[in-house]
Parts: sequence; C-alpha cells; structure tokens
Amino acid sequence: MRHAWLICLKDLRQRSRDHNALTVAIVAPLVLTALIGMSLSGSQGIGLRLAIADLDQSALSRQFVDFVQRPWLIGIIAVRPVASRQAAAAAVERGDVECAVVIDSGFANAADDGKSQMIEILVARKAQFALQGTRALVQDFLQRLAANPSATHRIASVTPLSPGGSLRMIDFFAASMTVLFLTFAILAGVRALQSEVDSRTILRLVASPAEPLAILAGKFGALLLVGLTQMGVMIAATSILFGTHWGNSIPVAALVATSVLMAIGLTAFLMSLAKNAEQGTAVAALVISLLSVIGGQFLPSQGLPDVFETLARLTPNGQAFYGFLDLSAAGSNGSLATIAQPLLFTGIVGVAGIAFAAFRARSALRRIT
Amino acid sequence: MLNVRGLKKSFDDRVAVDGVGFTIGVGEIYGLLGPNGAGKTTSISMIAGILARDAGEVTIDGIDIDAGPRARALIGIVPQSITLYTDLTARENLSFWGRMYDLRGEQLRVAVKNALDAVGLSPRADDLASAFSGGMQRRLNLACGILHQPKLLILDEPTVGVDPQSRSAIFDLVERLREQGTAILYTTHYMEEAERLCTCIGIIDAGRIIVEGTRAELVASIGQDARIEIGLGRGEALVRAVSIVERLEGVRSAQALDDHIVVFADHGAHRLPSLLSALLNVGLIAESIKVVEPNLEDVFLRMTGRALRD
Repeated sequence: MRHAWLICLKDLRQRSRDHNALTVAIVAPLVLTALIGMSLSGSQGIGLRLAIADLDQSALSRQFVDFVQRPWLIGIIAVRPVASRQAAAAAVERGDVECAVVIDSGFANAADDGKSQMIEILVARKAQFALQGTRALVQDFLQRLAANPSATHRIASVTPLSPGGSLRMIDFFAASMTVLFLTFAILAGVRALQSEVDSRTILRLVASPAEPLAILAGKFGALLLVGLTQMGVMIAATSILFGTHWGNSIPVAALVATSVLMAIGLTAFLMSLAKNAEQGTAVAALVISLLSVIGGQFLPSQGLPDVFETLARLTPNGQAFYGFLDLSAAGSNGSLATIAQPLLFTGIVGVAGIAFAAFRARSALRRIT
Repeated sequence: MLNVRGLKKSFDDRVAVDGVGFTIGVGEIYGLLGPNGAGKTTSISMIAGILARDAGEVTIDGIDIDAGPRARALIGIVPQSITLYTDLTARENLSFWGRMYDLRGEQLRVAVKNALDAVGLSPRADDLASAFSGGMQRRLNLACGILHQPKLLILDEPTVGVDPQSRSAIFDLVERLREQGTAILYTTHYMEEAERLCTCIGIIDAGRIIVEGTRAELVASIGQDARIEIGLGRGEALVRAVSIVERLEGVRSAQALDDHIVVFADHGAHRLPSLLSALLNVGLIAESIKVVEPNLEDVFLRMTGRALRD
C-alpha cells in the first residue's frame, strides 16, 4: 500500500508540473463553456424564455401578460406572445422557449364566478428550472389576483413536451465541456504512463520491491485523483461562475466516479493499441473528438430528430454527458435510479478498458525487457 | 552473493538466452561482455526479476529471486536506457527511489546527499533532470541505482553515449563500490571497460557464455601469440590472402576483417617475413602492417570468428 501511495504521489507531482495538462483539464473547459454558452444564448441575462398564448383576451388575462413583463423582470424573462395553444406547444418543442403559459378562453369569467382558473403550463422535458420559475410566477399572479376570495386559485395542468426545449446553453456546455475535457485530461495522464513504458522507466519500478499490483494501484490512483479533481473543480466553478445546477449531490458524485473510470478505461484502451505514446495520443484524440461529436457534446440534441440522442447514448461519453443533463433536469428529484443506465454503461466501459489495457501492458513489458 | 544457474529464455522460436550461469562474490565485478543482441540485457532482466525465465535459478545472498520484494530489495539496477523522471529534480528522483526501497527520514536524506555527492551532482540537485546533459543524466541514472546501498548492483551498459569525463566518473564510482563490498554485474560491449573494471569476465554470444575467467586467463586461453593485422584493401584480395596464409606453417588462424586480415601465429612477429613473402608471391602487397598484443577482442574473435562490434 505504501508503494502504491508513493507512486501515486509521484505521478500527481508530475501531473501538477504539466502546465498543458492543467490548461486542458480546467482552463480550457471553463473558457469554452463561457464563450460558447454565452454566444449561443445570445444573452446570459435571459433566465427564462416564456411563450404566452392569451386565448381569453380579457382585461384580466392581459394583466397576467403585464405582470410577467414588469420592468424589473425585463432581462430575466423574455416573453413571446403566441396566438394559440398549438403555437405555444410548437415553440416549446422547437426549443424557442423553455415554457409556455396558455390562458384559456373564459379565464376572466371563471375568476368572476369564483371557479377554477384555467391556466395551463407547457414545459420542455428537461427544463425543470424553467418550470419552477414559471409555476412560481403564475401562482404569484393568482394569489395577488384575489378577485374572488372563494375562487380556487390553481394551475389547471402542467404538460411536459417531448423532445423538449433546451436547457440554458451555458448549462449544456458546462456538462459537455466538463465530460469532453475530462477525457482529454485523463488522456494526458495515460500518455505519461505510456511514456514511462516507452522510456523504460517502468522497468525500474518493476525491478523495485514494489509488487506489480501496487504499481498498478499507484498509477490508477493518480489517474483517478486527477479525474475526480478535474470534475470537482469544474462542477464547483460552473456552479459559482455560471449558476449551473448539476443536481443532487449523491447521484452526481456517483456519475462523476464512473465517468472518470470510463475516461481512464477508454483512453487506456486506445493507448494500449498504439505503438508508442505519440501514436496513442494522436489516435485517442481523434477517437475522443469523434465520440464527442456523436455523443452530442458540441450541439444540443433538442430540436434534432430523436435518433441523434439515441446515437449519443450509444457512446460512453454520451452516456456520461446525458446522465449529467438528466440529473440537472431532474433537480431535487434526481436519484441514482435517474442515471442507472449511464452509471452501468460508463462503469462497464471503464472496467473493461482498464482490464484490456492491463493485459496489453504485460505484453508491452515483455517486449521492452 | 549472486548465483545464476542454467538461465534460459526464448521469444517465440528465437532463443535469446541458452543456459547462462555464473557466480559473483562480495566485492567482485563480473563483466558480461558481448556484442549487441548477444543476450546480455535479457539475462540481467531475468536476474533482476523483471522478466520471467523459461528455466534456471537465480539467488541473491541465498534468497531466490522468486521471493519477490525481499530479493529485489537487495538489488540495485541501472538500466541501459536513461530511466529518469525528467520533470522531477535530481533530488526528487532520488528521494522517490529511496522511499521505494524503504528509506525514510534522516536515513533517506543522508542517502540522497551521499548519492548526489558520489556522482558529482550536488550543485545541481534541485535542477530538473530534463535540464541535464546526457552524461549528467547517466550519472543520475546510476545514483538512483546505488542510493539504497544494494548488495548486488546490476549495470547494463552504463557508459553508452557518455562523455569521457562522465565515463571516468562512473568508472571511479564502480571501483569504489566494489571496494565497499558491493557485488557488481557489469554488461558492456566495450572491451576496454571490461578489461579495466572486471575481476571476472564472461564472454557471451548468441545467448551462451562461451568462455569465462579473469582477463589474464582469457587471453592466455588463446595462447601468448601476438595478433598480426595486414592491410590489403577490401574485396577479393582478402579472401585470397586468408586462403594462402592459413596454409602456412605456424599459423593458428587467419580471418578477413574489414580491409585487413587478422593472423594468429606461433611466435607472433617472427612469422611476419614469411607471411609477407607468401602474399607477395601471389601479387598481394601489404598496405599496412600492425602487430598487437592479444586482448579480449582477440579472445572473442578467436571464439566466434566475429568482432565484438559486429
């Protein structure tokens, strides 16, 4: 155990001196998240895009429209008036807005009669935060209304729509860049490990009193810590800087762990197929980039045919990425069950990749002695 | 200290080591001398426990190498390639390896200091290894192997590609270690190194030790005859010359090598006039003539028919 710890600490010291790896692990994903997320969002200040279909066209319904367009909400809520429920649903499905409020005809009369008010909310499937905001807005209006104290102030229904609207672009890219650069950060570590084989430094380790298992554990431990640190820093930084909500901490932590395992397994597998570190890095970078495109990490799948998300979920990085999106969308309802598939998929890929690479490493050692 | 018996290793159909065996006592330097590809590195990889052997036994201070960490802790190895972490300083490299061999605290600090002093790198202790010249890296490579004061030190071609100053420093250190009682296994394809350092030399070729002994014993094994080199230029002349010379009385062997023939004959230089005369009779005129005392190169040549550098 002591030998494993010594090897792990030594590797971490080496990684900490690799400025390029630090840039790839932390700086690049943060900067790209900010740049891409902000540029595609148009304005970072828009927290909620809301379509309103005022089918009642009464003074009361117009009060609601005015209510959500109060001066202090400008820049926070972007309102788009639409003519019908169908138009509202279409706007949500296209991803033009996260939510739509449909005020049915007869809304004012029902209020006058002390009956239930008829307000329907349409929401994009993954826009849980937008739903919470919209619901709070509508309930606030209804409570303030109090035209008839006996009226039942309530929202008639909430309809989730699929394929759904969009998360905030910055949230999307926070998750996508974190997963993408996790793989590249781990690749830098795996490359260093392969370089030890290429330069035969590994021979000295094998000849030392350290058991082979301790060497493996030390090397693996360092990669694991690098990955966990990268993910931890990214999650903390995006939460603080961009207000990204990643979801419940326990399932997020579990997915972080299996994602790091997946990144180690994937990169170790690719590196083990190469002749040397240079070739391995080039091939792995190419494959990771390709997987990231297929995994939907450069472009939100919302608004695209379902097949894109299906394809994305066939890739290990896509599984990790969509797992994080699902947890973010589920909010406080997110649990391990929410991400059972990503957990299983990324975990299996990680273990299988590491096992394959370890097997290949035995042959490599035999070759270089 | 080291007892090796019947080591064998094959890679697929190729036999790399075929029954290598020797012993090294306390304070002895055993030189494994042979050309590239002779099986030196494969042999020491098995002795160091890095490479699984097909057959044979290796014991260090009575402990079987298969005992694992207990046996490996007795060995210091300096691989042929420079095996340093170039993004760590010299001191960090040494501290890491010291800890791997269970040195701690003051004991580790002193060991690192002594190792740095021994290889003359104390003034550069806190510089990254990547900033070192090739010779300095070689010396640090050596320091990493001797830090824990191993009972058996394995040096695999430790002077390849180093400058004369570093080479001399390495020789001095190896001799000091021998005086301190370290058993040293030294592989090289440089005859001069084996002649200068080794108390016993095994000449290895094609995976087998073909002859073993002290330098004097090895040279004596080919007789006290001088080696005569007669330059004749390249080509057909060499073949003709060899066929003529080897039929002459008193000639033990004649071989063509590069642009000359090498002749071993009874009474050495005294045979020179008859050799030249025989060559002249068939129209072969010597371009150069050299008479040298026999050395390990000659032993190898006589045993294998090839030069060490082939």
